[in-house]
Order: sequence, then structure tokens, then C-alpha cells
Amino acid sequence: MASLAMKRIVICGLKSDRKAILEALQRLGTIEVRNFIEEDDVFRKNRMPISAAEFERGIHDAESAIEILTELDGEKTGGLLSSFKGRDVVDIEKYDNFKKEYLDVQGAVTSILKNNKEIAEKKAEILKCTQQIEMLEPWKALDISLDFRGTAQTSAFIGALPKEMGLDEIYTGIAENTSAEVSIDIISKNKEQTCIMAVCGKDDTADVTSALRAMGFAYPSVNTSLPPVEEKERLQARIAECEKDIETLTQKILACDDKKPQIKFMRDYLCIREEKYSVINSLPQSEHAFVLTGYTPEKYLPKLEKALGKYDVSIETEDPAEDEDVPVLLSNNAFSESVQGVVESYALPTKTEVDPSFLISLFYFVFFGFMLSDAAIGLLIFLGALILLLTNKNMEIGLKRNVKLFMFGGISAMFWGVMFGSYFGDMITVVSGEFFGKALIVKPVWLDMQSHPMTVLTLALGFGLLHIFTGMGVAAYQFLKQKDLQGFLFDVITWYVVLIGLILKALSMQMIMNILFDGRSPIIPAKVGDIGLYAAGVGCIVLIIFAGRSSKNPLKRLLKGVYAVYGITGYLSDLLSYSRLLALGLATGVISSVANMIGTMFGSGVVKVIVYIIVFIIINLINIGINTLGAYVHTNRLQYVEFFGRFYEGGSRPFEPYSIKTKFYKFKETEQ
Amino acid sequence: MIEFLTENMGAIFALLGAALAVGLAGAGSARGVGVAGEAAAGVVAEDPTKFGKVMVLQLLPGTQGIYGLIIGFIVLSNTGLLGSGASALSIAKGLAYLCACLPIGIAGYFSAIAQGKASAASVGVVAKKPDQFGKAMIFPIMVETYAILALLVSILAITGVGNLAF
Repeated sequence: MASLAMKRIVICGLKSDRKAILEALQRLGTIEVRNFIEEDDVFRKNRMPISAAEFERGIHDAESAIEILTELDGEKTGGLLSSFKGRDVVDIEKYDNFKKEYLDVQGAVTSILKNNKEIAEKKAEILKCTQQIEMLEPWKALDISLDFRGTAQTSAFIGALPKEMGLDEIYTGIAENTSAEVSIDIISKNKEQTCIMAVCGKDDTADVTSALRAMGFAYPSVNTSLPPVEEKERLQARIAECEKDIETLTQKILACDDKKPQIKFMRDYLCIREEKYSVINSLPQSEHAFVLTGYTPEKYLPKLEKALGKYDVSIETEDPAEDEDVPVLLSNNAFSESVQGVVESYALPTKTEVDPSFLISLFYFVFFGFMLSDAAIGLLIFLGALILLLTNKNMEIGLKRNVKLFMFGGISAMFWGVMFGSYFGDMITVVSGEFFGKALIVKPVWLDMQSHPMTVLTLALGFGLLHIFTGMGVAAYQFLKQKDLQGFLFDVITWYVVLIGLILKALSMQMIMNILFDGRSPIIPAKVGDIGLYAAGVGCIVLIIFAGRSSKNPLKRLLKGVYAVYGITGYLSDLLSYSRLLALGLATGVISSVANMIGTMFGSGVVKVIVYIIVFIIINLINIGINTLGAYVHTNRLQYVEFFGRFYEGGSRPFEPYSIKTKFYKFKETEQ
Repeated sequence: MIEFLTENMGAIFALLGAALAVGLAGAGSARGVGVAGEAAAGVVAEDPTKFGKVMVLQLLPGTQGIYGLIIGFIVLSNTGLLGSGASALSIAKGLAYLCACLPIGIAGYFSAIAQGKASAASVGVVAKKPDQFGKAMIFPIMVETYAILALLVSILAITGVGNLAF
């Protein structure tokens, strides 16, 4: 029920046992490796020849191969439900025996990557051929090769002019630059270019070349000695060939598909080894011994000693120093651990703070259910979470806690739904009235929220008060634990006096009773109320004098004290913040009622039933989505702001054990 | 004419109130969700795995529209404008309903836009530090408090108006 007590641990062992010990420690996963020892002449770190980059390349290769296989075999990886599944469980023996398979699997990975690279090359070639075919398109009427440059007596120019031109235009253009005889054939033309073949006498070659240049003549960029039509056929044949090759290569890759589980395992295997080697590299070692230092939770020490029992090791532990940056690991009972994620996503408790998970779990579900307060929706959420938990045994621990959170929240929503008589809003009444002729009125066990909002608001504020007072109580406990008596008296107890005094006074006033308690007569006698007011007054004076005690300057101290009294408004606004319990609680039922009303507005007979069902499902799905999200975030807010504001800051480092960190497979817990 | 007005003006005012509650709060939410959505889409373009987190942030300013809907619905149902039994509504009562709708209409509109901006900024937090999602979520939720307070007063006022004798 708290953050586990951490110990500094020093393990000293023989170098010959190093590999075995490190593997055992990694499987246990209960040590965070931190180096406390400086290197000296005897103990120094020595780097292993195998480098981290090598592991990383292996991991990267395996991941690429998995990606390629998944793309080709069409295995579904996404999907909402599959994310709950978690990793497959395998025996630890598989890790030990994997060495034998390793080369084989690595061969598969290499061949997959090689074949995939070839596929990419073939695809690039197809693209190139397609582009060339496109470029040949304007030339297909030509029955000689594009690189034909003439005969013994003539020079030929095959190429394109940069715009659409008629024969006359071209002749005129050439005549402007040269008087040589030229014969022009237009092969094709379009808006961008005119493809021509010009022939002239050998002697005029230079003149005609410059004349054509002046008009922007350019040789085609296709490089071939075949006539265009034949060249096109050749390219098409090449494309077909490439496609066939791709097909063969794809088949070759798919032939490795049955190795996919092994490749996934290889990825995990390499990750495990990478972490092991990075630890080995960080260990100070002498010729025959090594030292491993770090943090470990005290609770796991016996397990660790047992696991290392068969080796010649010395294990020493000591308490960490006061100012040390000790990592934090939370541990809670099966019920409270469901809110651990909520605490962790805020901040981990520091050394002087208690782990608030247990206290939060007491309030969390009350608030969560209150904000949903619909029995039917609560049941759906509960069943959904339960089914997820039952069908996904290997769910990751963090996710499992969150699903449990919603399961408990669903139970609480059912409770409040029954109290306030909401089952998809007024569904039972509407359905029985509209479709079965006799409206069944479901009486709420306590009262109807919509017709008695003030009473429910009073209850909500009451919960708020309890929540805030509990938070202050924790603050008091923390002050006592640190032996800060002044903090205990002036920052908590005085506030208790002020607040309780004011509450007593308020409850003795008819005006407040009118607002909060339907006008009942005051439950507190006026005299007690007055005593409360005096007590609050005295409390305020104490605050003015002592709240600013950290300042030496008396004026500054006084001003700080006055400002502290102003903090009453903070308590008031925190308290009013709990009115969201009522507002959000109402929202769920009202939206369901909207569905019931709209759904029964149209048609009659069977049509009416069908319309109702469709409207009912759509609106309630949105309702569940939005209001569950709302209940979750607003309950979190009440914990983070109103509750934590009283006693909790957090900010510790999470415990990061040296352990087996895998993506695809989880190892069965072995009894050590 | 005068007769028509005295007979129906109450209902018209109440309807105007419901329209303002749903319309203003909904318009605000649309803008807020829009602003947050733009930021969220930018993050997903870079890293699709953050979709779940940024979508939650985008949804946060959407609640004001729902609060408006709740108020609009309660008014319509309390005044009998929904369903068949439309009882005559006095002008005073209709105006009272209209006033009761104003908190969620006004606070809903402005808070949703402000919350949208805060959400967009929180999306930025998630983009850079996905593990700080819990904290990032709190900033937009702070803004929502004021919409909830407005919703609360609107609900209480409508319940109060329903019990009035005039």
C-alpha cells in the first residue's frame, strides 16, 4: 500500500559466474543498476568486443523483416481489441535454446531483406521502362531507329521542336538561317512539341545543325538503336520479366513466413542481450571479480538472495542516504492498484510523501459512478471491462489496471443509477408506455436527481468536504512524520478549526438551510454556531500570526499571514468544484432521455420500434463515449487539483529495473 | 394580435431560451473542438500512435455543446413544447426560462473556445512528452469548471422556475 522501501545493494561476484548471475538478475528484474563506485586501478569498466550498434542493427533488421512479412501476408495487426491482447507467453527455456536456431533465423532475415531490396530494384526498373515507353509514344510512326544520323551522302536529324508547328512554319524557320536544301517530315505533333525528321546533304550538316538549334531543336532523350515500335515491345517484355521476378521474389519471402514467430523472438532476444551487455559494460571489474551496484526494493531481497544462492557472491544492502535520488516503485492491493495509473500519470511520491493510491481508490469510484449514475450504462461498462479481462489473460499490467478501473467504475455507476432510478434515463417507463401500453414507473431507491437537484448538490458538496478534509488529514500525517510540529499545527489543524467553525455557523443559519436542505430548520443550535464562528475567528488570527512564519521581516510575515486567510476563498472554490458531480451525473440520464423521446416521436407500429432502436443505439453510444470520458477526466481532476492540492506534489523518479524488456513475447514467471 | 401574443409569447420566450442554450454552447464547442482538432491532426501526421491521446484532448471542449443540449432539452420538456401536452405558458414564466438558459449559453460559448485553445496547447505537450498526458489533460479541464458551474445554475434555475406559481 505504498511506495516500496528501497535499499542500496552491492553484489560482488566472480567473473566466471558473471554471465549466469547477470542473466538471473535480468530474469528477476528487481534491480535498478546504478554505479556508485568510482573506477580505480583494480576495478575498471571493460568494454565487451560486441558493440551496441551491432545489436541495434540486428534488432532493426528483424523489425524490418517482420514489417515486410506482415505487409505481404496481410496479417491484421491493428484493431481495437487486439491492443488488449498483450504478449504471448513462452518458457524461459526457449531463450536458452534459441542460440541453436539463431543462425537459421538470421539467415531468413537476411534473405528477406535481400529479396525485398531486389523487389525494390525491380520496381524501380519497371518505373523507368514505363517512363521510356511514354517518351517513345510520339515516335511510334517512325520505322527507323531514333539514333539514325544519316547515310553516306545525307545527314538525318531526328528530334523535337519545342512547340506545335506546321510544315511551312518549319521550312520558313530553317530558311531564315540557312539556304541549304532540307527535307522535313513531321512524325507527330502536340501542344508541347513537334517531332520531326530532317534530311539534308552531308555537306550542309553544320549549317542545318545550327539552323535547327536556333529553332530549339533537341534530340530525344531515349537511348536505343531499335525503331520505336520494336523498342517499345522490348521494354514491355522487360516489364513483364520484372513483374515475374517480383512475383518469384515475393514467393521467396513468403516462404519464410512460417519463421515469423522466430524472427519476432529474435528481435526480443537481441533486445534482452543488448540490455545485458550494456549492464556488463557499465560494471567495474577486476581481474577475477565484478561489482554490481544499484537499488532494489527491500521486499524482493529474499527472492534475489535465493536466486543467487548457488553462486559465490556477496550481497550487501544498506539504506540510501537522505539526499539520494532514490527511484520509486508503487505496490498496492488488487483493488487500489487500479488507480495506480492515475497516480503515476500525475507524479510519483517523494520520500516524505505517502503513496496516495489507497486513499484515492476509496473516493475515485464513488465520484466516477456518481458522474455517470446510470445503472444500465454502468452495467455495460462493467461487463465490457470484465469480458476484456477474462478473454485477454496476457494483458499488459498497466492496461489491465486501467481496465479494472473502468470495471469498478461501472459497478459504482450501477449503484448510483439504482439510487437515482436511471436506467438509460427513463427507458423502462418510455418503452413500456409506448410499446406495451402500460407505463411502468421505476421508483428510484433514493430520489430522482432531476426533480431534486439541490439535495443531490448538497450530497455532492458533502463528498467534496470529506475528500478535502481527508487530504488535509494526510498533510497532517506527513507533517508529523517529518516531526514538523509547526506545520502540523498552523498549516493543517488551524485550518480544520477555521473550516469546521465556519461550517457549524453555516449550518446554524436558516438561510443556508433553505438553500441546501429544502428549508428544514437548522440542525445546529444558534449558540453552537456562534461558538464555531468565534473559533474560526481565533483560527484566522492564528493564521495571520503564524502562516507567514518562514519570513524574518515582521511586516512581510504579517502580510503573508493575511494572504493565507484569503485562502478561505480557495477552499470555497475547491468545494464548489464538486458540484460537477451533480452536473455530470444529470447529463448522462438526460441524454438517454433525449434518445427515448426522439426515438418515440416518429411512425407507428413496427416502423416506430425500428426507428426507436436505431435512435436509441446511436445516441446512447455517443452518450456512453462522452460521459465515460467525462467521468474519467473529471474524477482525475478532482484528485489532482482538489485532493492533491492539499498534500501532494510528487516528482520522484520511477524505478527502472534491469529486466527483460520485450515486445512480442513474455517469459513465464519461473519459481526460483 | 395582442391576444395571440399574450397566449403564445411565454412559449416563444422559452423556446428562444432553449435555442440560445443549444445554439451558443454548440457553436462554442464546434469552434473549440475545431481548434483542438487542427492541432491534433498535426500531431497525428507526425506520429499516428498518439491518435488516442490527442483525440481525448480534442473531445474535451465538446462537452459544452452537450451541456447546452441538456438545458435545451429540460426546458422543452418542462414547458411541454416536446410531446403533446403544451400547457399555456405565462410571459413571465417564459422570460424566466429564457433567463435560466443564459448562463450555459454564454459561459458555454466562451469557455468552449477558451478550452479549445488550452486543449490545442496540451496537444503540443503530448506531442513532445507523451508520458505527461495526465498533466496535459488537466489544463483544459480547469477551463471546463466554469461551464459546469453555468450548467449547474441553469439547471437549478430551470427547476426553480418550474416550481413558480405565475
